[in-house]
Amino acid sequence: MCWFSGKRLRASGSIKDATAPEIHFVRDVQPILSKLGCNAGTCHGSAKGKNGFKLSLRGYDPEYDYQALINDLSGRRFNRVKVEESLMLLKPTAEVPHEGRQPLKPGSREYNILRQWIVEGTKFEDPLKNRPQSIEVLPSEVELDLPGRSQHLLVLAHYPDGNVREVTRDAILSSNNGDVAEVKNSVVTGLRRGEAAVLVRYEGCYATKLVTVMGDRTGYKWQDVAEYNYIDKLVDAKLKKMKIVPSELCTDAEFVRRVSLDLTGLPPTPERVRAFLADETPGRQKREKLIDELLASEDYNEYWANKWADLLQCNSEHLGQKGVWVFRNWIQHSIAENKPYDKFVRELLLAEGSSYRNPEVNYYRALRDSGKITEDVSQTFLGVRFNCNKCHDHPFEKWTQKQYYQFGAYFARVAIKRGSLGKESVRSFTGDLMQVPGEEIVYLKDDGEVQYPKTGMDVAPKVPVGEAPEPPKDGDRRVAFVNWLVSKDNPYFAEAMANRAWSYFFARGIIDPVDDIRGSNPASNPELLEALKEDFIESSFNVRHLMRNICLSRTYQLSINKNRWNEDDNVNFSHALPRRLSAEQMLDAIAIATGDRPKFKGLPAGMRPVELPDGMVAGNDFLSLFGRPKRQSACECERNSNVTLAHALNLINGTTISESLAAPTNRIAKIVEGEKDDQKVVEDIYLSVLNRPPTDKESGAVDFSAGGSRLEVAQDLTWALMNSPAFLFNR
Amino acid sequence: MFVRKHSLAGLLIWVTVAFAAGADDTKPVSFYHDVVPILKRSCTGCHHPDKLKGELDLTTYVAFQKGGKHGPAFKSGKPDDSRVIEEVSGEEPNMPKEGDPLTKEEVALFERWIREGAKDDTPPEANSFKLSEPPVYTALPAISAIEFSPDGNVLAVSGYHEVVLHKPDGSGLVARLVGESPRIESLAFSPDRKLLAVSGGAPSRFGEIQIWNMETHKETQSFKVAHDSVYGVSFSPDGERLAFGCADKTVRVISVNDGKELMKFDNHSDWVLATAFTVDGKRLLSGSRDRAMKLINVGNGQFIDDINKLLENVLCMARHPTQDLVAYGGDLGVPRIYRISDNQGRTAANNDVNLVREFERQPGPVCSLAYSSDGNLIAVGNVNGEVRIYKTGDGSRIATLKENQGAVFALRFHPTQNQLATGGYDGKVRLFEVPDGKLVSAFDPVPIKEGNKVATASAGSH
Repeated sequence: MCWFSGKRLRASGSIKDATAPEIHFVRDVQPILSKLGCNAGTCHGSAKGKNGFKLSLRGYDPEYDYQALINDLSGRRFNRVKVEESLMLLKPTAEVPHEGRQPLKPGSREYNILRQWIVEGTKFEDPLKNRPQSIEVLPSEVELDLPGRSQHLLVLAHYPDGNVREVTRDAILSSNNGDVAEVKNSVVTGLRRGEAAVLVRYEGCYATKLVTVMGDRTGYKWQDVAEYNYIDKLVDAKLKKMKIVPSELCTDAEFVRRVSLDLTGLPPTPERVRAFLADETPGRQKREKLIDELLASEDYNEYWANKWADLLQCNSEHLGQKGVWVFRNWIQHSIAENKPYDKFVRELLLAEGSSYRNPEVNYYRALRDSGKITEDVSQTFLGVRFNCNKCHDHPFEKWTQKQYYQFGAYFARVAIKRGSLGKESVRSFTGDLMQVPGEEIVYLKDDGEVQYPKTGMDVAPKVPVGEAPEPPKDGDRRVAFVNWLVSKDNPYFAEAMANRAWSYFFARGIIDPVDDIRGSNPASNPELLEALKEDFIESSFNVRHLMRNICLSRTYQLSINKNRWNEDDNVNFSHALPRRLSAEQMLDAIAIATGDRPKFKGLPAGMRPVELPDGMVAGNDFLSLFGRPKRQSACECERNSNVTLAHALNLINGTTISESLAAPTNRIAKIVEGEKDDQKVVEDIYLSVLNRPPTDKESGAVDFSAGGSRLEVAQDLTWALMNSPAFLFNR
Repeated sequence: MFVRKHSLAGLLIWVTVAFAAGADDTKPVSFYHDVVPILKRSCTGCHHPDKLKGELDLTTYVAFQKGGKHGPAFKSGKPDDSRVIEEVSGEEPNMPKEGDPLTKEEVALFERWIREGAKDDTPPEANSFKLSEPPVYTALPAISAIEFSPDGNVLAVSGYHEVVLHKPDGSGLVARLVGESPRIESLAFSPDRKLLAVSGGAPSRFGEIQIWNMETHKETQSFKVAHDSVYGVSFSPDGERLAFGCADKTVRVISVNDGKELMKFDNHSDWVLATAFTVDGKRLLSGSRDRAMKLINVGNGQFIDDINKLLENVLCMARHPTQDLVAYGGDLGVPRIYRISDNQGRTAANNDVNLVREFERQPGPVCSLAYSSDGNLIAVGNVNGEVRIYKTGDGSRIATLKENQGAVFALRFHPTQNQLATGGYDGKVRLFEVPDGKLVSAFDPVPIKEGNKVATASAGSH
């Protein structure tokens, strides 16, 4: 990797002032290139550089930058004979035309450092010794009591030899939430109540400083509430710190709908709602019983199999028809038997053999090459995004480009060949017929290496954090990787899943986005995440156990109604957040509301959409409109849960709802036919659509004599309720 | 902290400059001292001869006066009728497109300068690079080019603003060829040995081709070309034309006699650093950082084909002394030899049909490369200070020279004796015996003024 390793410049010392400090490239010059923005992604740090001069992005590669300044084009950029005529001084001062204008002022501190560096002989010294190991930001906590208040930050760099330097003026500071706090010249100023993180970077080191702007909380008083389990304890601790009061518990009707949708993807049937509301068991036990029932249901298995089929990219474009069926079935069986998460991942990543006989090999068929394996395995199972460092060291994180290829080297010998069982044709998302291989065999080649693009040389496999034993020369390299990956000591594996699981119940992760864990994206409640992770590990990676504890917490059972003290909180889980139903939940909810399951091409009668094995469902406009992912990406963001005019128009006018509403044998028709009491009809419709009984006022508002038949009135009522937020959102 | 001493000095200079600029209302505004610094800071990044946004060049008074596609930039005495004022003033000025707008004071300065007659007080020497005296050195300049005369009697070495001619064994300085270009990029002797062509220039300012008479040691021609230093000069076999590469991605051929441009080729997508004519002189090969070696019909300037698969940036190139073969080195460090021929045999399975030989990977980018006069050896220099000598016949390495301190930017075999001369980052010329690679001598190519010597890496190494 480094052309300079083991070599070092020595100063001649002939004119060296006894007290004048020497300028070192790595320690002194490189920070200036970063601070001035020379190596920014929009300037010389871009992939192609600018105007013939390229630096490594944000200075991650000091050797490269030294080469660029000194050796590129036969020493074009420095001039030892007339130092001031060095191009590296003429350009940034705009003495010669410079599109980046004038970042460097002649005579400035930065100018003098660059100049002196050339005078002293453009020394380059060992980056390992002269780059800091870590940076520290002082003070340790930043709490601003009111908007408008400021705090100076101090940045200290710690070097391998134990030296500490104050580097504030060359460090780069930015706020991740510019509405709450801004940073200028290392002073952070509160703008409004809330929490922000100040991201600090200096020479490949990163630190995050949390800033709390409290605001006026006169009159605030914490009121103790019951803590159902460890989750509540840790959530409440944060709420107290931020002077927030959590919302009240949600009602039983709200709870039965919420927890059913969250655990099984289905709204509760009217019968279940009635039974739950009628049950006189004390609230907390009653809710616990329901949670356990749902966790044990087949609906749970189907719903979560669908979720994992998304993340594992189960789609026929790569897997073929038979492939998606066997792969999805394997996933569902794994969930049904509550396979420990570590075992599940181990089986997936060590898979070999026929795609028909060993369904788990289909994951490798979906990913196919070591680059995509690297990116998707890291994002899915570590919650870490490795795609930036494919081309350069990660701009905001410790991940290096080399680590990307070291990671990929574990999978360098995974190969795919045609099996003996023929070709299949499948319909792509655009509706075109395309040929995909039938059976494929995933196997391990005897050779195969990954090359590090900077040098073109093979790289040996190495895990990005911690340690793993060196894989055997001829054996399956993946074993060493997987042992490391699913280890209880892996700092990311359990945490990523705990955080991901949490997000499915709270609309956001404790770290959010859930698959972008990095120092500059801090957890809103690190203690909570740590406790969830520990709980998950102690349960031997039991996903149901984790979800059960989440659902049992009082925090999960809070209302969406806010109070004066939590109305501006969206990150501390002091109240529930409404979430739009997913595409599949929406179809199931329509089926339960009307008693008629919408029919689609590619969806057999009576089949729940979460049972569809294939991401490539041609012609299913409703599911794709409401954001069902195509399963081409490992990112949670592939599933879209936004709300747009197109959604509203489809619900008002679209055929999906209107056809189900008008189906002659649907639930509405039956109830209107069989039930003579108008109030009972209204109650049934409310229970079917909104999963709760109507209030007296709501019952009284329905007038069956206002015109049209009783059936039409009932259909209109159903339609109106289905277009209300209470139906469209999980609240 | 450890740089405080310098910062304080810097601060003083800065304050002085700030006071000097436009502080005195009683004196007329100076174009050179008051206006030009603002133009440089805010305008010339886009309005310079190689970019010419709005067809406007603001790097000289004459160009500024001429203006761009909207006509003259100012009307002497009439700031209200001057386009430049319109562009830079107002609440949301049009210009500069990026960066801070000019302050009110700066706009006022422009207006006052125009009202006072928009005079040019640029001193005549300001835009000239001509030296009245040969340069005085307190440090060795990095060596970017070395060339033996075809008879082997002279060794030409690049300096600062000059080419120095030495006896081939380094035993004495023969002449100093002082010219306008501060940077010398490449050297080429004419086939009849009578002329030395020099390519160079001043980065971001101008490029130059100089022709020197090797009997009188006088500059017979100087041709200003392009707006940046120019690279990789080569003579056509008949000695009548010169080819070179430019930072503006063009390859150009000019007439040696009058500098007339005979061909300009713009098919490359990055800087062109090397050129070589074919043995018959009918075709020209150019090597660029875009990774291609492009074969060009010199007669009509038509592109024929890339002769190579695009594997790495072409940083240096050397043609075989008598055959249509070329060796190149690049940033990934694998030197290769190609047949100079179009790619007619190319198929999907084999699109590198002209490749003759691939050498081992060097420890770093290759920045210099040369054939021996019999074509049996090549020497390869890299940025890490190593020179390796290989047999072209079987690709075997026969010597590794580690004496250079820092990158080896230039090397040449002596045409008749078994010697190799190298130069680079550390500024020293070294002569080695071939093939055993023993260091024969090392010398400073330029005279260093003693007593006042500054620290350079030449005394140390990396």
